Amino acid sequence: MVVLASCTSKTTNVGTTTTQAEQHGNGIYYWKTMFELNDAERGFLKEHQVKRLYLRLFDVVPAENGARHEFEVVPNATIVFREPMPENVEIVPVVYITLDALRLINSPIHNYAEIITQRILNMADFNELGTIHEIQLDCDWTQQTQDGYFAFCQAMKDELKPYGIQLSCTIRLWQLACACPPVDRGVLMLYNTGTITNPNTNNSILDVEDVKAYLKGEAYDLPLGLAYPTYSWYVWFRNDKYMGLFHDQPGKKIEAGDVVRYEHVSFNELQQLDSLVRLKLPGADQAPIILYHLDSANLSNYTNDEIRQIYSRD
Amino acid sequence: MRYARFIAAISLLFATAQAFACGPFIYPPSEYYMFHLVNLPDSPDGDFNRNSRENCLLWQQQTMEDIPLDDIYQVVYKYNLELITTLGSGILPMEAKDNKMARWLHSYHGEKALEFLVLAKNCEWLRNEALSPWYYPSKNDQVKYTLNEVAEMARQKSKDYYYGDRYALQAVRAMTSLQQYEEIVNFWNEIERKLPDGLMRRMTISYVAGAYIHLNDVEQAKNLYKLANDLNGLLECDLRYQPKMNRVEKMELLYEVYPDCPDFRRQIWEILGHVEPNRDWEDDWRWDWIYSDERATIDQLGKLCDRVLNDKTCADKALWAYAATYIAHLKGDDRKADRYLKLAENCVKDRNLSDAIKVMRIFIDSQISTYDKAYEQKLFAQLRWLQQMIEKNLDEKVIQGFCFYDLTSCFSYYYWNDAMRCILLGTVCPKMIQQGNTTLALQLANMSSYSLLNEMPINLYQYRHSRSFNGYDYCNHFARMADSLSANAMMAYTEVALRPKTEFQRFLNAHSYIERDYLNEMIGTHCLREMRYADAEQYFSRVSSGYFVRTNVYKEGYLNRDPFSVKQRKWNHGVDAKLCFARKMNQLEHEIASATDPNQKAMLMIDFGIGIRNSFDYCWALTQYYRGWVYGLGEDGENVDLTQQAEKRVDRLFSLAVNSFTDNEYAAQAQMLFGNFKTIAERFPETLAAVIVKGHCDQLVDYHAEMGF
Repeated sequence: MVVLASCTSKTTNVGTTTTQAEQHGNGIYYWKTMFELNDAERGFLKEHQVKRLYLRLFDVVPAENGARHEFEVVPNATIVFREPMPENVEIVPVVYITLDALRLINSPIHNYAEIITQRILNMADFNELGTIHEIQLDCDWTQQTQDGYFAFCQAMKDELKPYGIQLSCTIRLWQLACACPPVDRGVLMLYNTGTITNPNTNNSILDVEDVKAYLKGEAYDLPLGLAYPTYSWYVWFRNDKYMGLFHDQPGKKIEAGDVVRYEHVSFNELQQLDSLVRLKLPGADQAPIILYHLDSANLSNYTNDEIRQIYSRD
Repeated sequence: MRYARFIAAISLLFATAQAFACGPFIYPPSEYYMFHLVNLPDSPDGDFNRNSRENCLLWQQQTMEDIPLDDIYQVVYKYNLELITTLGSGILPMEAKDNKMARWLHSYHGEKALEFLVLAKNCEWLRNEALSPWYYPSKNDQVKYTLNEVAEMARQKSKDYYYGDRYALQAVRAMTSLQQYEEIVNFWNEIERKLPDGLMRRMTISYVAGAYIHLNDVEQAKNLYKLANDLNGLLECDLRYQPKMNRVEKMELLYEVYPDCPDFRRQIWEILGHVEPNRDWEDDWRWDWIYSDERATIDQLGKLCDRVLNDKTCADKALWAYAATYIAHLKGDDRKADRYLKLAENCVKDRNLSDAIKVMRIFIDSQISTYDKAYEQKLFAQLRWLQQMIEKNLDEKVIQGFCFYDLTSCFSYYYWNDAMRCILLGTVCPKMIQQGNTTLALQLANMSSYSLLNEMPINLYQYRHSRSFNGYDYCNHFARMADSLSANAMMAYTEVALRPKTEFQRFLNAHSYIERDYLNEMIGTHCLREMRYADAEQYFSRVSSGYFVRTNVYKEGYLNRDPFSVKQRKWNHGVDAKLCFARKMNQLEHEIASATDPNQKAMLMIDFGIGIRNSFDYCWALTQYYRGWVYGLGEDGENVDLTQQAEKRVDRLFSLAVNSFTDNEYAAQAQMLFGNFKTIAERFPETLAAVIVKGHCDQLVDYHAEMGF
């Protein structure tokens, strides 16, 4: 660890302070449309002293305006709160922006940065999410949409400044090679490394070999958190054609000859991933860990001790 | 140095004399709109201005008659939820203290109205704010009720005596937002018979129609939209509707779904009502003078007219044929216009449209007829009818408008009068003049200028005898036309005006201004302009001396200029300056003819020449009624041809005079008048004039001055 730390002297912005992990503590995403925790999930938060819950509030998608027959962006799949927030957990609201919405978001007519900020703050206020210190944008921006996305990030940052709220965004592995978005920090998503629709993919959620290609020992000019996958799913193919995804056991739709690929990430793979990231991403060993995502069924694939080890990186 | 000033004084004689005598205010026939539809339906529902005004009037009836509409508008449309809620809590906010409606609501009289407004503002807020996809409630929201509560309360209250129809509208609005379409239809079925006619019912129906669309009963929705006169709603139910359609494309679609829509009348008028060819008599009208966008719209409307006229089911063919007539005219095909007009005449049922078609008939006849006796008789009958319409439709608004515009600027803004002017001044008079029938042209121009004035309940005697500027008699179309014609034309016209022989002439005179003094003074002025001084004296002699003071050029002081002086100086002639001038010029002309001494004759010719020249220049008021640049026209009231003739005559006179002198003293005096000092010094050095020149020229340049006359 000491050696690594000394090697990462150039990584001034990546996990710069050992306090970032401590400050943020253990984190986990909540990515469902209804906020309702079961006992196991509540127990998980408590057991692993999760300090930060990255809560998806809504998606931003394009929609046709009925009256003017023009496209604009609207919120979609807004989370419904069925119960109050757990105590002692800081909420980081997350908004997912689709690529199509991104193309419309820098509208000269609407100030979507203001509209989105206001909606997030209203939701936080109305549902008593506690004091918001950070808001996160999640977007699979491309090189073609990079300028628009960065402009929007800057606009959001400007909107949030008067409230003293910082802005973070998710970073895909391939985006490490691009310029940094103008945000306060990022979360590197270390999953969805393979092509889900390819029947030859072994595990589209994580293949540590695939990750190696993106981590070249170079620093990233933003403080980063690390998001590790703790989810699983079933990918369904018929005649090598992608048919769909199941989160539980495949249902009656499956016919003889169909192929169902169960994808999950084992504790062992997570450890390999962590080792690789620490080795190849300067400052990664001091970055906070965020699991994706809070779902008791998925998390039951891991023991409490394994989860503890992932968070503590023992 | 003293001589330098003398030179300057003389040179002024030939400088251009600029004067602005408040010349005619030209309102050319191109601004008299021929296409006309009366009693246009109100703009359809959905027009915020119209609805809001009707709503405010309704509130006025339901509250207090003395509450200004603007106060009502402020409360109903501008006060936000917070302000209304404050009022509802029994507090009169500071910003509402001066508003009568707010004060009334605050009083115990306003309790029920206020209760309604609180609910309505809640509903509005929830619909506008909460229904935005971006809305998420916050703890700061002022809303008192949820939309469900609003809907339920409004439904209950819709049965109340007070504001029941207003509550019904709020109920359907709330239910629409809640997407409770079946409930809306059920609610409508409950209240349909009880809901009174009016704005609230129409607006409620539009929402019910919207609900039917969601329930996939488009036909029922269309029927309801028609009932509510909600044309946008009606169009939007059609799958072919595109928001980017232009206005005629929307009309085409509307015709398919609602062929008898009363709003076509308004829509057609909006396209054609202000398109008027320039019929000023100097120019020929051309279709491509219309802006290309407007031309494309009119073209498209023309095609729609053809389509509709070929549709046997069309109930209002006269309207479309009337529009097609005018479009054909605009495109320069008056024969085609005539055919459309016949169709319109054959199928018109509506009285108002029938009158507009009759006017168009007069107009199209004026375009296509041969101007002969038969046409004159037809025109006589047509004008008799048009005059009746002018008199019959006179009301207080027309009178006020006339006194404001026409009397001061020759504008009328009165369709029947405008139509007469448009037809006569724009088409008939120019054609008559072209054919040499200037007398009838002047008669028609006179009638078109005065027929409305003569019907006005105003004291014209007082108007014409006041010391104020007469903005009518010398500024109207008749005066302008008379000004452009010859003295002979005016003489012939005056003869007919004063001694009419036919019924048509008597009819035209009856609606004209034919005061003897007015006409004779005008002929006299024309004669001065044509240098016919004996005739001028004769006609001015017929003018009563009191009349001259009534002319604008007298009132404005332009006749106080001495026409026989080379210097610009005052002329104390009394009131009849024109007569004095004509008499003196006539006398000079006779003296020149009878003089035997060549020097005396030459001096008389110079005096005569100075008189002519001055009357077209510094003393222009002797030969013109106005001079100056008219904004937009650039005219100066001068007949250039006659001025040039006068200048040539003056040149000839001066040249003849100079060559006629046998006595050098006379010749030198004449050269002195013209400022030709060098000539005096060189050719007549021994004369008294030469001594003066040599003695007063301080500088060589003055000594060599030569004005060239």
